[in-house]
Amino acid sequence: MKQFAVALTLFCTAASAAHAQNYLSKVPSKSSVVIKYSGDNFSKNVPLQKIDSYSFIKQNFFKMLQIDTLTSLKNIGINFEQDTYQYITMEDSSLNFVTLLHLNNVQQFLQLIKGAYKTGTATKTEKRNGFDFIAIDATTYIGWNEISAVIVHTTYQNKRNYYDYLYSPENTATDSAVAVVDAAAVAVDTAVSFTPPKIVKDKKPAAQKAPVKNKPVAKTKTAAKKPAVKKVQPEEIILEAPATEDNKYHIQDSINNLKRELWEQQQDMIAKKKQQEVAEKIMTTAFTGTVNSIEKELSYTKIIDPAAHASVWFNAESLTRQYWKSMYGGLFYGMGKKQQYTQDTTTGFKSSANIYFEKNKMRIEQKTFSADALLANMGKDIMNSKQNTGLVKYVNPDNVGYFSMSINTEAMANYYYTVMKKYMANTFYMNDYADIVNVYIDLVEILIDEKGIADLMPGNVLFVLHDLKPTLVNYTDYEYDKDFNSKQVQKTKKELSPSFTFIMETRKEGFMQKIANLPLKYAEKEHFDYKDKGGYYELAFDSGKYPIRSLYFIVKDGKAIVTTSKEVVDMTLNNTGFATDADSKNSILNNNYSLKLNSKRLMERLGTEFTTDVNKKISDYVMENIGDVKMESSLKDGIIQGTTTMNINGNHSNSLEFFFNMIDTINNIIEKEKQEKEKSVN
Amino acid sequence: MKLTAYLLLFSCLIVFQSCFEIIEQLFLKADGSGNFQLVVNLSKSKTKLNSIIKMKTVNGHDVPSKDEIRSQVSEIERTVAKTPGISAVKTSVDFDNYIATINCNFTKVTQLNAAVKNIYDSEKGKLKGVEKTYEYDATTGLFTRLNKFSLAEDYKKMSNADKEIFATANYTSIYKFDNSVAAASNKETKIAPNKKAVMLKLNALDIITNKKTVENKINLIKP
Repeated sequence: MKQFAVALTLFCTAASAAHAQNYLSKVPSKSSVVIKYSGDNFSKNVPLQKIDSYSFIKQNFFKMLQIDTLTSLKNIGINFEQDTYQYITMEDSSLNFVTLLHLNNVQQFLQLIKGAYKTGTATKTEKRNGFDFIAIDATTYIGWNEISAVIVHTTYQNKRNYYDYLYSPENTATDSAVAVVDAAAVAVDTAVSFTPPKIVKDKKPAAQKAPVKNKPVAKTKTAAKKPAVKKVQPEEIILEAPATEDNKYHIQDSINNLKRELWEQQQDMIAKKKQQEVAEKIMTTAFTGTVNSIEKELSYTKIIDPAAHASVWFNAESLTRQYWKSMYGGLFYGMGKKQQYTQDTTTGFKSSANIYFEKNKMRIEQKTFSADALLANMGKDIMNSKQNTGLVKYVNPDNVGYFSMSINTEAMANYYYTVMKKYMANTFYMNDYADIVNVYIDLVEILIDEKGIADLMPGNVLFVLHDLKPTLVNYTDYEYDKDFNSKQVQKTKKELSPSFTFIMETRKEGFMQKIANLPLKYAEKEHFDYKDKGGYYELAFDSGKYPIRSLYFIVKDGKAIVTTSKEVVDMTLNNTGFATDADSKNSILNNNYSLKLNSKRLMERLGTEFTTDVNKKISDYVMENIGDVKMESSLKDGIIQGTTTMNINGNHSNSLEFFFNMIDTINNIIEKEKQEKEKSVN
Repeated sequence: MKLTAYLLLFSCLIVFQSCFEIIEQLFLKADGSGNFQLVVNLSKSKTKLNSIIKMKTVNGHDVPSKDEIRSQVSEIERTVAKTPGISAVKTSVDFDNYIATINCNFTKVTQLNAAVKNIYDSEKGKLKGVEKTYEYDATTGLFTRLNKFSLAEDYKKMSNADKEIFATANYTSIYKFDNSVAAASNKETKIAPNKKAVMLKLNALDIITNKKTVENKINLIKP
């Protein structure tokens, strides 16, 4: 059933648009992630008729949605011409993923979700104040009225671990009384309790019966709407063997298993009840209430472009907290520490990606911004750096790709102190000791020489993937004569060997030289081949054992270099360089971050590794249709801004259609291969 | 289950389009005694293994150290050597070429079955059907290679990255006999021109997914 909900959500978001009621006003300001799909732009770029025609849509999504292949997406009741929003929030200890949809035909929409009834997991439609409601399963709920629908996928985060419970001081359960009630949650979660299993000892063995039912399953129904106490009646356990020491152990083991299972069932029921409550609360607010919306938040409006075809906004700080909560929430709950969600919408960095599906390329504009002046200034300081011009000449014109980074490491170190203090002050358990942590971090700040670090690594680095060349490596195989006597033989095969260079600017050349010199003393003792070659060092690998023959290290003119290319070593020693193209040069020197990837060259090189026909066909298609990838990022107007572009080739109306075409083509290649295989087997 | 885990982990060292081969060789004398050898050859993936062996995990599995692998192989050697009727047990692990072998003599094929079972028992294995791998009836001259257990369910549960490992893996069995071979039940079997040996070479994935089988009934001509 989850498949249905996921498919529905994906569908609705893969093709939607912007007029009428603006759903942004229904997105809470405390959201950690907000995704918008501009229906207007989407429906223009890839019309619904076109989406209908893709075989992968019919084979997979239509099947999941239980729509027949003759139905058009135009007729499922969802208005794809209006904007769709999705957001993530943490509310009442539940992590919620919410989708807000526009409807244009509620009957058709009901027909669509009717598929949910078929599996039997969905409950009946219920009337609520201003909307209809259905529980698809324990974690997925749909609410709707005549013009809109809300899908909530929610998971309760305070489900407790049985063993934490068992060994906690609050546990008073004994062998005879299996009174397992979630004491911490008792105030709100009293809807569920159960009767302990009846243990019948020393019953005479019956010939046809199993000796011990180790894991009786207590059949339960889902949590009730009203908070009436539900009784869970487990099956009777029949213990047939005489009570020897061994049997006593098995009896106790069965009781323990049963207690654990029932306790876990109870936790599931508590979770389901909480999840439904949260889902209904979100829907009630969305349909009839007033939401403290993100719409007017500066941190949202400043970095989200309403004209983008799709946009993603996220609060990195909240996301981190939610991650820790979902990973360790139960643990902290067990320790008596309740989660603190101080929903601070002003501090911390907020980031966004505005996506544009243009004719020949997909463009993503990334922005990072903090409304907090201190943090914003720190961001500016970190980005206050220019790439060393001496590094640019290592980018060869026909390279596979490069990544250049230029940041102020001294400012970065200072930024970390602030972030660490802030992080510790908001972390469970540690927040009680925030003052002590604060002093410790200050002490670390005094002890650490940020200027020294900045001298060693000023923050200018460059990685260039010059090429991927096939190289011969040997291996042992077995051959057989006509009488099947085996013989070990040495063979060779081609493997891709990366040719790369990593360069880091340094103002502590002497120190880096010492590091490069250090392995010489230990080479013989540790059995590795590391030699001073006069001006540079070579770490040689056994021929045929690794795809890389040698790694070279060189420290010269304020640069520490690690490379596989002897050409780069010679170039450095002779103070020459590659004839870097003007576009790469400008991009590296005018941005804090610059990345380029020659997709065609990369696929050409990787293509030699693909052995199956399917992989070759897919790589050929990708090679013909994907263009170069380029990313640049720098500080503009006080905001960290970046642009990533992925060019497309081939016959596509626009880059969004390209993605649909690509998935469809790859799907068809795989399906065709499957059919051919089946034919040959038959 | 440690053995299975180690075999899987060893296999997991090979990622993406790599390959390995398992070679099972058995020489059966007319009296039912003989010699058995199992070779796991990962040499074709050695450049990747040289890198991966230095890592702690791959595909979410812990990577055993060379010492751990050596220790595990020695433990298998000890278990096999303890089996009555099994002698001259030798194991080797070549980390230059990533080839592991185990070799032993037996007086009856049923002792090989016992050795295999002992390994699984000592590793608390849960695989069913490992009790009987070979059968030989000297009176009828019928040698049987059985395969009562299936990895299909385990394979289904594997991640795609783990599944990829088996895509190009091979299994080869070579059985040699004092007596001449009259016929072999497995269609994929090749019989040597001298009629004294048979070879079966299969793709590991075909075996795992039950498309092909290693099972074979070989009829030997009585002298």
